Amino acid sequence: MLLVIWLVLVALHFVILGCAWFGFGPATTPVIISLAIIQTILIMLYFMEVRYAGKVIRVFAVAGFFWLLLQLTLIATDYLSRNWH
Amino acid sequence: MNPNPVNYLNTDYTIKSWLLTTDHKRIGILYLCSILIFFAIAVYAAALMRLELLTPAGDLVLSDTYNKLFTIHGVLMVWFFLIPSIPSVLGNFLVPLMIGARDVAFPKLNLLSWYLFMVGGFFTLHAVILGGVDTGWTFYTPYSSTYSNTHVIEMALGIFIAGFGSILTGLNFLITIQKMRTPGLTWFRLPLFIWSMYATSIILVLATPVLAITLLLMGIERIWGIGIFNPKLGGDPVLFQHLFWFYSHPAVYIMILPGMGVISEIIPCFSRKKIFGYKFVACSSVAIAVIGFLVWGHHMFVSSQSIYAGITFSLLSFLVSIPSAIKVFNWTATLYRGSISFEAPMLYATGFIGLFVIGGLTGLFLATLAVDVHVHGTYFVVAHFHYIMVGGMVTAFMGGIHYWWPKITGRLYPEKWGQFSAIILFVGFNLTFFPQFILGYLGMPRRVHDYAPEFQIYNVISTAGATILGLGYLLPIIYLTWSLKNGKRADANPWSATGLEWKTASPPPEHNFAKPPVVTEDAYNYPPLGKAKEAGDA
Amino acid sequence: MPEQNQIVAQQREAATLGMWAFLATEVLFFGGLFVSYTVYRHFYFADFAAASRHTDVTFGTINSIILLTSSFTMALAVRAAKMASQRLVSRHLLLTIFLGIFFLVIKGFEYHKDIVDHLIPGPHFNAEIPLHGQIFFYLYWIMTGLHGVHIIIGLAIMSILLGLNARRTASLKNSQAIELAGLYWHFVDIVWLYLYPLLYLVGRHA
Repeated sequence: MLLVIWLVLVALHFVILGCAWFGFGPATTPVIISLAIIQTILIMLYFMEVRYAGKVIRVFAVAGFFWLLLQLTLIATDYLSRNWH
Repeated sequence: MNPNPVNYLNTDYTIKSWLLTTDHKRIGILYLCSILIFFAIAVYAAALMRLELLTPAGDLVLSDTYNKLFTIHGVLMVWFFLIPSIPSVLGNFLVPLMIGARDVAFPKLNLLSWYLFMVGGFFTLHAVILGGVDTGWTFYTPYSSTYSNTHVIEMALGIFIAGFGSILTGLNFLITIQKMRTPGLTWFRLPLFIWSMYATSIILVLATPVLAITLLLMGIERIWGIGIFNPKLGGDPVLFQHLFWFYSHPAVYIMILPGMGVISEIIPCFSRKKIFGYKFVACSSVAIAVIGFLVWGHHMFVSSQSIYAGITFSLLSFLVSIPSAIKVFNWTATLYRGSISFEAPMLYATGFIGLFVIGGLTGLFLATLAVDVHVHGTYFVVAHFHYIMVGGMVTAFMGGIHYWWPKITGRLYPEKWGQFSAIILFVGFNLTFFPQFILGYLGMPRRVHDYAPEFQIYNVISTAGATILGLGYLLPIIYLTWSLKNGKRADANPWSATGLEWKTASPPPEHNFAKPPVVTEDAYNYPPLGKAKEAGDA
Repeated sequence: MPEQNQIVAQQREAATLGMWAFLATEVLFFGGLFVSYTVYRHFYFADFAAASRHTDVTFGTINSIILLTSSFTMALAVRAAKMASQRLVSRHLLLTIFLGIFFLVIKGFEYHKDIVDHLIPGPHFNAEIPLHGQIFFYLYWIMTGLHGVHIIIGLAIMSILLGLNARRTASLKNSQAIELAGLYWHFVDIVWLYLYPLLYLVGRHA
């Protein structure tokens, strides 16, 4: 199982590289970041064994990312609306 | 009966046994002694400022010195007194006791926290001795990163290191409360102090690393000479404020939530009543911790932050008042028809409620965009946050110290003196800080050492009040120290209080409980006083 | 003694949960850098793309594969520790350490190339890159630098564990230490998964 995950991760890596190289215009960065998020989820589920972990560990595992998202979102309310009139 | 059973204090008297201890109770005492030193220095800086402000002219200290004084005062009070005050002293002492555990989850990390705190404190004091820092405790860029000629790096390094101490403390409490509860102690049977410490720990763990990286970026920018907060390169100084307040606003709740927890313990005990709306008080702590992360932009209404972000942050800030108000209503409802007695802890607790309400309501003024534009950067803000931090947190800290003093030391403090100094503190505090609301509303800016003559009368009242307030701090230090030797011996439960910490001896033995206690009832199952007496007699 | 077993189990759970809480703080520690990156990328979109083209994508890609592989060997080490196979633990830990060092060596070559190309922000900054590219490279150095520090810490921890593992027979306590080190190492890998696209790839297709 771990071997399969490793192969998928490396494969995804080359997909990311390919996407970045050929590009989708403005969607490129969101696409490659989404793929990196998939890699993260795979690592957390299988390598870090969140899949087999209890509820509390799952909450702790997600908390950091969730808080970072809150921070980004609220900072974005400032930077995205600075030039509105 | 042996008058001196073995307890955590008399097992070993060597200095080594204190400096290498992993006993959470001893670490709490280490924190208590060290934060009192920082507190004394910070109070001294405040005293000099109040003296300077007696007259409108800047005649006691130079404006540069004044800048350094308020920086020292802010840095030491925030990071080296308030943040560790209740969490690291009472929290360390009480969390394992209250949940029936032998110690915290990671006792060695706990000791490491104290050492990190002390090393951080050393660097900070060293910066003060070298000549101080004049940026204010907020270290706003580009002043701190480029223009200030003072010892910014050293002080920031001190705070950076101490920050890791508080991260480890928070982490320790989170895991301790999560994993070490004694059999039968379910989440909704926990004392409310534990709930508030859990909420505080969430903030310590999730906010402090952001401060660390922010100070690191600022420091590198100062050393390197270029950086991302410098407009010369196209950097945005407001981003520093965003990152700084993402930590520092939640940190305000680190400085009040533990106080709320203490009050939630004291009020039911001295009203002989179960707390009203237990679940609401418990959940409001967590709600405050979470919503507290979403409101930082209200410190930046008059920076160049977008007005739309300002509106968002203003609305979110109003939301925090809901859980805070829930707590106040529940405390008051607990008092209703209780058999209230006014021992010193209760006097502090009722004082807390009043001062917190004033501090909280004036917070709503400041969260209102248009009003904030008028009072931003004035003494109104100073008065507001002192009502929360000093009127709230320090009063709660004093109340908590008195309440648990018999448990910590095994001695009773002199009750009359306790009551007297609680009243002195309340009077002194209001005299010091209420005039500052008026000053601020009339437009006196903060952080200046001279001011227009028409403000003098309020400043004189404030300085006079500060003297009384100072007495309110000095008295407890004297009589509490006196009671260490001369106080009456306390039995295990001098307040006839509920809670596991009162079920073990005073002071507790080294490992708290002979065997894990089993909890079978909810918290605060207070019978009215008469019944308790009967039960005690029987 | 059942009570004793219960305490040991409780301590194990506490340690694992503690590690996860620590990783949450790490997410927010690095988070400040990612937030800064996002803000300036929004401000200076084109300059960031132009600056990113000056990073060495070959080194970056090789390093990514190395780190992903080291995560894999680390996961194998954790599994071996659970099966109490001292020999396998040693082998996989050694492999992981080797890959970590390999990563640092490549990073060293890359840093050397960056310095030769004048990619350090300041008065001697590479003149081909627009002004705000300096912000990109300021973040580049700090992000990869802090990540490198984390790699070094991870290598130190694993070396200690390798030493302990060689000396004593694989015990339950030991296996947990390896599990915790594994969690940390995977986290360091995850950070790189975002550094790689943001630093090396944003300007490639234009």
